[in-house]
Amino acid sequence: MKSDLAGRVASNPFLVLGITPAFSRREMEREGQKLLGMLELGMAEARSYPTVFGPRPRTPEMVREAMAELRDPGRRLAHELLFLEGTAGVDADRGEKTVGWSGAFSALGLSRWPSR
Amino acid sequence: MALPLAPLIWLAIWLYMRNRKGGAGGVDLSPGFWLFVWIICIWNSVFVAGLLFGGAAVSENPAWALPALAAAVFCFPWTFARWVLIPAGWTRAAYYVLRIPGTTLWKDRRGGALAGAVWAHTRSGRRSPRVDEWLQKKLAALSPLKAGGVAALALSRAAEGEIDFARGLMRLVLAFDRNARPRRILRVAVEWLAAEAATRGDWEAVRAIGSRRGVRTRWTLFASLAARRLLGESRPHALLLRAAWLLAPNRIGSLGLLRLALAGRQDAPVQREEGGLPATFSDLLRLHAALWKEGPASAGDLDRVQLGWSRLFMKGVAGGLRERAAAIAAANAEHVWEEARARIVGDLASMLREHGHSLAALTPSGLTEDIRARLEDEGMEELEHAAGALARRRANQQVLPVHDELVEWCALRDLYESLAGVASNGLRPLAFASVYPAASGHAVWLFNERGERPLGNALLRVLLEEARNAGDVEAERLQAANVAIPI
Amino acid sequence: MASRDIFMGIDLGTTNSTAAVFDGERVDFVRDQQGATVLPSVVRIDSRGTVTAGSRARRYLESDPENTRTEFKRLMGTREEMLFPASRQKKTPPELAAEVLKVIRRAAGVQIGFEPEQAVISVPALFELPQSAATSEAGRLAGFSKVELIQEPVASALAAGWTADEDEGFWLVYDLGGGTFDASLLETRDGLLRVVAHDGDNFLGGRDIDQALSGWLAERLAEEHGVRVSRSDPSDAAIFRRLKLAAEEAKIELSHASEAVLSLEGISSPKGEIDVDLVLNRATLDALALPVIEKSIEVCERLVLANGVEKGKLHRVVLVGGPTAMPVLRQRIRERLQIPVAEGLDPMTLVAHGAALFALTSRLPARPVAVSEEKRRSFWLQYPGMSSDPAPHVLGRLTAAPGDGTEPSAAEPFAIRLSRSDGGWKGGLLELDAEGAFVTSVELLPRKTSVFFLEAFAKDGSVVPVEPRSLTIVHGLTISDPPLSRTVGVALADDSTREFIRRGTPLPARKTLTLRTVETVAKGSEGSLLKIPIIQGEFPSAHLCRLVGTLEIAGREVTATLPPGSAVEVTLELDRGGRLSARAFVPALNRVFSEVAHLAVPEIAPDSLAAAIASARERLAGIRRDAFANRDRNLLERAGEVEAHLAEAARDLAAARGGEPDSTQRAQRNLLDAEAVLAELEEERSWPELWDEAQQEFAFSAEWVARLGTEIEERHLSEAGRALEKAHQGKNATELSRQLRLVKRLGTAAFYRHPDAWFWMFDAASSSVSRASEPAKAAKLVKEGEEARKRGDSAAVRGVVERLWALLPPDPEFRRLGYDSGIR
Repeated sequence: MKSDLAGRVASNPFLVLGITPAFSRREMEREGQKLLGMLELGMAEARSYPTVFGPRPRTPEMVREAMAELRDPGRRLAHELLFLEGTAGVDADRGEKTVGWSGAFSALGLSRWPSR
Repeated sequence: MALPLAPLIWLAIWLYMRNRKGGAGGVDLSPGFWLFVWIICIWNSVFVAGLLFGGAAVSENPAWALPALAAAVFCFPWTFARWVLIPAGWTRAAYYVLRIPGTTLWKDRRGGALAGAVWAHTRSGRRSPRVDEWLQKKLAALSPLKAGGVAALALSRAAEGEIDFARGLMRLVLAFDRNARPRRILRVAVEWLAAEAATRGDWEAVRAIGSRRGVRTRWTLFASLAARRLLGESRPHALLLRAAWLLAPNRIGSLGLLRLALAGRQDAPVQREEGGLPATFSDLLRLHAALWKEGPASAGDLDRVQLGWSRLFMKGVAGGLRERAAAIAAANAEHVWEEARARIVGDLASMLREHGHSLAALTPSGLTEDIRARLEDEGMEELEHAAGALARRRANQQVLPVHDELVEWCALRDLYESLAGVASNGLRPLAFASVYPAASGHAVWLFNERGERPLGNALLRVLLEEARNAGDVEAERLQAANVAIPI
Repeated sequence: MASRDIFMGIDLGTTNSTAAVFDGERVDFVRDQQGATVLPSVVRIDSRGTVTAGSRARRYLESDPENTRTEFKRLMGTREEMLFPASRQKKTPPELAAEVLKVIRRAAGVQIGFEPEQAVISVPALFELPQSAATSEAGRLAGFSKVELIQEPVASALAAGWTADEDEGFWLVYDLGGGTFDASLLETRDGLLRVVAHDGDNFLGGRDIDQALSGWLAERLAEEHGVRVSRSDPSDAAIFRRLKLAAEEAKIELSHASEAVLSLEGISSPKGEIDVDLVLNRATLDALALPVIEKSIEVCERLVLANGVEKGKLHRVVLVGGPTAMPVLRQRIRERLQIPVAEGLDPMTLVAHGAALFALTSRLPARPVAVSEEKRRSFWLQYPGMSSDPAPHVLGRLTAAPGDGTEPSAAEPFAIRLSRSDGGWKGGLLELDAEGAFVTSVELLPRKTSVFFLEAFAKDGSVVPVEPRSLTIVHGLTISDPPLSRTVGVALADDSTREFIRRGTPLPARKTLTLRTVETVAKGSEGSLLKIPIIQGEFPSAHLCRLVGTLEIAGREVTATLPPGSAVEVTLELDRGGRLSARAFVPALNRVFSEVAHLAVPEIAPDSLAAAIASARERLAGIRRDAFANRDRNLLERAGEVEAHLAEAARDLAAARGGEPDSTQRAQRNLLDAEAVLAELEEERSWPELWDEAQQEFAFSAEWVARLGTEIEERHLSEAGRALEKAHQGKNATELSRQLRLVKRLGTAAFYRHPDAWFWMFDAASSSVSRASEPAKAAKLVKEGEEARKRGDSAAVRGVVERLWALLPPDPEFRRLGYDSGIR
């Protein structure tokens, strides 16, 4: 359901590598290599990374791809633009919300099978 | 005690049985006659039941109550099933009781009984594979499909969690010819639709269902009053709302809605100053990301973000981006900027459609034209694909079971409506022109060649209504003629 | 210190193969019994079934060509099998490649003291998935337990970069092999090598020069000795083989001398068997080789241009492959690309050298690390075998105790320390975390091999013996992961493609995208099948890309009918060796499908290829006619381009009929290239036609809507007219046909309102009654219609017309209208 843009923001290479655009190419490679090692060794702290949508799982493939993306200056620039760090601020500005009534079906005696 | 009218009842039963059994030997009598006989029977039974209850009371012997109860069930099968068997979850009992000939499900007894049975099964609390299989077999055997059968299918799919498909089916129930649509089933369908819209918080739809003439029920009336209060326009008085609640069934269950409506709208739209919009890409992106969070985004929120972006992009490539590009030896700042813009346009378009907002809800800006183009292009392409697939399948004589035909139909209708609903007015005739030939051909095919006349007729009614909306006079004329053909 | 790890790299070539071993500092090349580093990729099976490979087999190439095979690399990934008639054996290309690898493995065993078990094998940059998979398979068949692949240009760049001093900037690797040409643009920065882009031609190589040469020799034979030979005649295949071998030798001779004499004995001529001497000089050879060279340089220019690098900005070009020894080639490159050629590199062994370096980078030692029998606690370490970073990370985690936790806690490591063997660097004492792991960085000796000792200490400070005791890291130019050579994606229903894993993405890679179905997949239906074709290539049209596998969802496996537009989450995954796995998850069914029908590179029958070429010619002729008529010079020029591709395809096809198995592949590639251009040209050409049609339709509709349309219809029509104009300006064909559909609907609706419309339609239908499927019935209907017309009964005429339409061959527009009103 999430759009292409949302996917890109959530899997931004900087987030995947746990760095910011201020990191140099060499620092990026170093962090990536460290993460790959940590993932290979199954270390818990490497297995997820924070995004505005909450923590996302991190896999070695993602780390490799992120490194490759940031090696290319043109692609790096695009990712820098779409870099959105942390989780703060996302809910703060949320304005009006549409409220549903979850009890509608049960009020009419309609029910659902528990999902398998 | 003598039963003066008993011989008449027995005569009716004998005639009915004889008529059912004998093809050629049967007595050929008009349906009107049977209706007459049944009305006499039922009122006789009411009379008998009353006498029996009276007898039970006088003789103080509870055994008298049993035949009284049987007579009552015989008189009011729907009421009994709806308030006793379905809540108790007695699937087969519900089915057979609803099959008792009576006036309630007169227009689709088999389908209607099955709808009751499916409903009862979902209430049984425990899903039995055996009963499931039995129901599915009965469902598959329904031919031709009428409103009751479609409602049964909808309830069964809804219980599986396929709410979108179930909604499509329930809406189709409303489109059936009145001769293939029992009134009780119609009421079930509108109440279901209202409840479903309420679950999503689509109060506009709840109100529309409740104010539809001819298909109002006490519950949808109450729900629509609550919806009007929640929408905050022409607020009905609290007393009126309470009265509607008292009159409607399911009072305890509906208490939640009553309270919600009485509390009124807590989230009145916040007036925002335009100047308060963030001015940097990163801050706008953060604001934009807020729209992706759980739950549907409101049109106001989307508009605000859209305006912010439009203002930002109007200024051209951000200076910071150019500097940054130079610093990391990237030669494509313009391209990156344009690409980001295209992605944002695409995302706004898809959100607009996903949350069912119209393009008209957005303030015209430098981006709205691009959003419109994106919506139309993608939506039309999808629609053309879907319509093409339908036409191709019919051309190849690839016959699907009727239920699966409905899956495809409902998916196409959803697609069409999501597009026609969201885009500018000019798109509706275009979208209609691209689905109409395939959809109409399909309905006609179901009517003529598949022997599903009531269903085909219902689909044509949907097309007729849409032809009116899209202003396609020729299609309207043609479908009006088609719809008039007796089923 | 334990003996050093050895790393092995193999360049499995079309005509020759080489191998290198690397111990972290020095590179050695594997030599065969004769002491040669270049091993012919030739396999022979004699009548007793004995298999020989390498230089021993090479000797029989001329005398027993039937049972001696070479150039099987070109057939990797196809289903082609090669027959050895003497022993009546059939071998697949990977089996033959495995024989060559076995020889290399044995020779290496003699040299390093054990037979290597793991190695890196190079493949051309533009190898597709089936070809890569076949190469991995060859490695497995040769007895390697693990094989990784690296692209040849990356390997040569690694080797060239390794030997060069600090060299920052862009450079080019020009690799002209026996059968393939690859050009790669690379960039070195901060000691890291980046493959910017690849280009190349899978069917351009030194062999094309040989072929031109043998063709020239055949002409000489005809002119000077009256011996006529033809490539498309299978009976002449033997003599062509001999000519080719002679040409190959002459070519090598001419890289030093200015003239070479070719002696061919026992050539059958009209005068009986004769011995022939032919003289070839360098100028002739240069002239013959020039088309191939120019074509390759064009590829380089395209590559450099496409990546926005100016010609003068290239630092140097590294030449790889036997044919690059030709002086004319070096000269042309210098002239046209304006870059210095890197000297001092052996074009024959560079790839193997780079492959061995890559084996170190990816820590794939020729002999896997033996597990110690001693009862020690061991660390599982992660570090780069080779690093450009002078301070790379080293990570480790304590593995489970060998004595399943019964060991005394005193021996439990609590902290570790790393120190470099030369004493120049010592890390601090590092406590293990709750997971028994540590993360630290070490300092490397610049451009040298550093060995670090690992010590572990218990809580009380006593030393705990652990495995491994040391680790080795080399400082130098690296490339972290092998990049994917060609984009992998999925073909969509409208012949477009959806990119999954872009070329250059490091392997292994995995990507999931959500796609939508276009047709119903009916529950339990045998006939209904959803196909997800997996393709490789960068063309926007799916049919121009290579089909490498198909993911299938069959109706019989589906538990609920899927309507069109249902979501399917497709995941494609590639491992380091380029093996593909794919699966589809259907959310509506909550099921995963992973049946992939793997395909080889598709084979095409020469006849169907000939038919395809003929039909392309026909299309081309149409375009030419138009171009002449409109005096469109640009169109004519591009038609010439198509013609060149088609001519080449036809030549290859002739060669294929003469028994050259891979010529079919070449012909197909050329045909696809021609079709790509053709499609573009046709689209350009059809635009005016489409616009004409649109204008006519609009005029028709405007007239009828004005006469008999409603107000709403008029409004819709004028809106559609504006949209048509806009689509015309933007050259948007899809939008144009979309609007056209609406215009037609509006027009026909108004038209049928005319009281005589059905009479006119009746006239039209009855005039084509001769084409009806049941003439007798049609004639009867016409009669019935005429009577109804006399009565002026429009409704009856309409009924007749609709029934007539049902008998006439389908005309989509009419059929559609017929369906609209078909209820009886």
